[in-house]
Amino acid sequence: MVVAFLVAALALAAPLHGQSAPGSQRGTDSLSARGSQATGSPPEGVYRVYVGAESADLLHRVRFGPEGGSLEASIPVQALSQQSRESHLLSDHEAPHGVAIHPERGVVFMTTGHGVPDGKLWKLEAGSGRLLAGPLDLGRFPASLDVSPDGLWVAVANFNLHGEMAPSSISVVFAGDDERLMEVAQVETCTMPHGSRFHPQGRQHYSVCMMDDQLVELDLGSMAVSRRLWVARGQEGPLPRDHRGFHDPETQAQHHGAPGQDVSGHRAHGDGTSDPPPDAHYTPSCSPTWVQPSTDGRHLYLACNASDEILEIHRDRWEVTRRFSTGRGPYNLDITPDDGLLVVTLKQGKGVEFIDLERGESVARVETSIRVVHGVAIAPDGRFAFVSVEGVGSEPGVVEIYDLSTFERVDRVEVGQQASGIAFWNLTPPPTEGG
Amino acid sequence: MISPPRLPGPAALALLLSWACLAQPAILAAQVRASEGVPVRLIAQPERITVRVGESMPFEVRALDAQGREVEAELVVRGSRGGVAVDNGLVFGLDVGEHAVVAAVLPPAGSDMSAPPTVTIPVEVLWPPIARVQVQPERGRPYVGTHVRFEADAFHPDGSRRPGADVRWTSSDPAVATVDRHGLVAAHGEGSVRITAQVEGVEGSWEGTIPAFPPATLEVEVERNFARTGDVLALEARATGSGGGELSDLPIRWSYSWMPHDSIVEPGAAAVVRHDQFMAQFPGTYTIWAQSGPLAAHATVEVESRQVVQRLEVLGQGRVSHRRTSDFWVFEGVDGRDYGITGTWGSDGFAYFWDVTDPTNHVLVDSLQVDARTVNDVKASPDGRYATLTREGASNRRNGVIIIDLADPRRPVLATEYDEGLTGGVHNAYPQDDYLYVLSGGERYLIVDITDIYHPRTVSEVNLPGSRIHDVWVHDGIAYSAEWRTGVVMTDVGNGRWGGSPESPVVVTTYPLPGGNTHAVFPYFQEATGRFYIFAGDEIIGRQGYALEGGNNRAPYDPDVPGSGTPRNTAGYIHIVDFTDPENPRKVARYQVPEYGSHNIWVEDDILYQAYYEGGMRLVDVSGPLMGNLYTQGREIAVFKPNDPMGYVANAPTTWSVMPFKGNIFLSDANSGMWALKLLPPTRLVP
Repeated sequence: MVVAFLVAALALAAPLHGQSAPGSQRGTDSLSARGSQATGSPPEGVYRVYVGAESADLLHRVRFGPEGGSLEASIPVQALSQQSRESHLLSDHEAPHGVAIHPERGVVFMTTGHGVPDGKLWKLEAGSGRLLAGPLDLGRFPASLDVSPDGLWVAVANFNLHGEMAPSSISVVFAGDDERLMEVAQVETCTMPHGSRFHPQGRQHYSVCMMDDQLVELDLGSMAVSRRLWVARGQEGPLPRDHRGFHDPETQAQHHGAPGQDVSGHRAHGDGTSDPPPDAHYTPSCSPTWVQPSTDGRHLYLACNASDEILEIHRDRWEVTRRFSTGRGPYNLDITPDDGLLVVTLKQGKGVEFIDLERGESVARVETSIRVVHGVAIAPDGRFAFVSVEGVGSEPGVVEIYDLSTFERVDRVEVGQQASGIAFWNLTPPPTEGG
Repeated sequence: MISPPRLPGPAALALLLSWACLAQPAILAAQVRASEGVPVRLIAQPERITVRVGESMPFEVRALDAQGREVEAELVVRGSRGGVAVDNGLVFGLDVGEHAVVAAVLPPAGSDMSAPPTVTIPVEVLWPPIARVQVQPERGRPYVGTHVRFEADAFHPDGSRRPGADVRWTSSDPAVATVDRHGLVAAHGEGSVRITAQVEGVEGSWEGTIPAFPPATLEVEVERNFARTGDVLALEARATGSGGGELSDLPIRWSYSWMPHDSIVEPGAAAVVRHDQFMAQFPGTYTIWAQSGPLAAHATVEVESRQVVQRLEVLGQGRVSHRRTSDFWVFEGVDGRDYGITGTWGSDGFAYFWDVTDPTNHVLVDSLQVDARTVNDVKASPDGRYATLTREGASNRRNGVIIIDLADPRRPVLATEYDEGLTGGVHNAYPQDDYLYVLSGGERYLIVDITDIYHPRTVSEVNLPGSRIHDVWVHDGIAYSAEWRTGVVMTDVGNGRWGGSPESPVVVTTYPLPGGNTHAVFPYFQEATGRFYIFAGDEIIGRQGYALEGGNNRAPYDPDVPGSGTPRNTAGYIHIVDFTDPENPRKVARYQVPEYGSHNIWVEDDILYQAYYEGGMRLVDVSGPLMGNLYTQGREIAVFKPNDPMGYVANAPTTWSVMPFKGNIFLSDANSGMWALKLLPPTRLVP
């Protein structure tokens, strides 16, 4: 059965592989209708995003309007701490890393990675920047996060960036209370979880594990892992729900501890999953860093940071259906509301890649102005993508703004050092005549 | 209507607790009774819950539609993690405090998800019941006419002690002895008496006979009759019975009276008497009293000003004004000349190398840039063979430590970027000739074989689960690490007394300190007394809660940025812990300067060289036994604030580290670089 699956996966892989060309590309045929305005025209309304600056301990608000982009507000973590009366700030950076926004509820969620020892979750009022709740201690280096469509739940990947190679968790936080955040679960997934995203229907949540090549589905109703997919190159297939990765000491003990047990290969389960043997020295071939559900919820797009490709996964069939080659180091993803375009940040490749999902190919790859590309947030009208770029050393981070009809960088706004997570807040329409 | 649950007995309680802890994450996807309609409201019964640790209470959540009819809905019902657990309609108390259970409707796919109804049920988790109370006198036994303080300890069924128990004291016979609400027993007459402490209805008692006060004499001896402010003097009260034998169980009460030397209006409470020791903070004549029943004896001590102030001379400055300076190190190079290394904070990963052979002329001989935002810590090995630069904010997030080959100290060469197991920000390192102790991501430290600096090799690590580390220092085969809320951690890494070695370290002691801000540690053996002290420093950035709150600026003046160009504000102090018996350490003193915050520490020849951030460099006499707050005892020798009008932030002292070296004193300051000073010989200084 396993062999049959592998053959099928390999057969699928070749013809579906994306045809991206090296270097910068242009190919806008299928994209000219994106957005309601003429291609390449300046914005008429005002777009606003929030972006963290990990080495400056700042949360910024950046605006982009007819007059261009600018830094509109900067909120020091120190100021938030003073509002909370939390006296235990680190002398090192708290390190804002992830940002998620629920525009309808008007709230911004931010993770800070460092702590004593656990990092934190903060809840702010969008616009004023006033601290509403938190900080709430979560796990080790809470990184990417997402808020459920109903605004009640926040799921945070406890990345444990610099910790032991051991399974970590997704923290689930109830955020529906006006005055406080309440962590209700830490669901253990696998090693170095990242890329937290809720399904548009809200019940399922998706994350990946960099060091175990896993895509993990969490069910909000049971607050437990409901499915796992192994995305290692050539090994793609479902894993048992309780497979906590290759670095899990318990799994290793189970495999190596039973006398006479055959540990030479996968163990098949009755539910169609197979259980690959543990390996403390497992080297990920995909090293996924992000998973992005499509707007219609039918597909999941997964960034393989190590193998420089994007996997398209059919959510119901739970299998890889397409692959797209990218530049070096795809890291974060976002998708346009019409599911037509996937925007990929290339962390190691100093670029942004645009993949036309209808044509099944990369249509542009644009070099960023500085190194270490981080996050991306697409405006709800699908016209612009806002990309955060960390920078190196003491150089400031940058938010770069790309026109999705021309794939050109139309502006850049300097922010604090090591620009990190980015999320879209709102689009203020242009004033109507006589209004 | 929910009837009150029956509280389980101790055995059942233990079962419940273990079951609650072992259970899978508690889930209640409640299917409530069906009827038509869309849920718009959830109601909980009861609306508030109070439960003890290890016990459970039933509760119910129902969904109602707009007409108030009960409807079916899938609910997510969860408790705050670690505080309560929810399962099968019961909430279990796990940890004392204010917690909550939350229930929310999980809308079916395709339905409106904009505002599903929720309900939050506050849950107060109380301590487990008290199982027993233990009562005993603190010291001595009551005789007629004496006062003895009693203490009561209350214990839970699992043997754990209730902190801060509310105790109610009573005496069975007030004619024999009375007891006040603080447990102080006054013995009035002969006879049997029972002193009872009640905690939450559970009683514990001390029963005894109060004897008549015996015929006796009382004498007081004090270690010396002349002392300086800050000196700690041993006290001894000796009671002798009529037969000439010592009465060791007579309770002794100490007090003192004080006459200032001059007309200066001194503050009260000028001395401390504790643990049979006396220490005066101000000059004057002190009469120390020992009292027991009708007996009283005294001794008198003349206390003079400590007179330790010495002047400082500034020798030179290696100014760094375009970047923020971090840590520094001064050492003798293998070529016999003296060198200094300074790091930078948030400044492109630069480190600077100086020739300071002439401390009046700091010569910048080289610089090195590494892929980092901050080179937080720099040090050289004792043999001068290599240096370490710790990296934070490397662009590839593999921070690690940089090993510098100092074969030619004027031309430092990058030997190795060692990041194996060190990808987290490396905040501090402690190089020895053969081994390097290096922090990893604030979680642990690695011990690295550094005999070949081009091929370092990790041999072991020390990692306390749940503890965050900030600094490590090694002395006599023992590593002392500063670990925030965990406090000071002592680990045998080669001393051998506890069987430890670099390859197999053994954690010996952890000692938490008040506040949980333990940031730096310095071990010091005091030759004159044979005591072994740990100086452990807080680091607190910001001063929320203090009368002087101030700001936390780190930027040069910019007219558009409020607060820029001003000094930062910090808090915290130095804790001094007697580690002479390392398995039973005891905090004995502090050095706390109001309005400033402590940073790195050095102690040598009974002088504390303290970096005190905006309080500058402070030299403190730490000779002799230590007690109380050294700041109020006239022990400060000299204070230097490195003001620099051309500094990164002008005239804003932010002293990072201090280090005595070859008769001079060097310091690094975040806004002005490295300085060299000399402590001038003592002279008679009159303020």
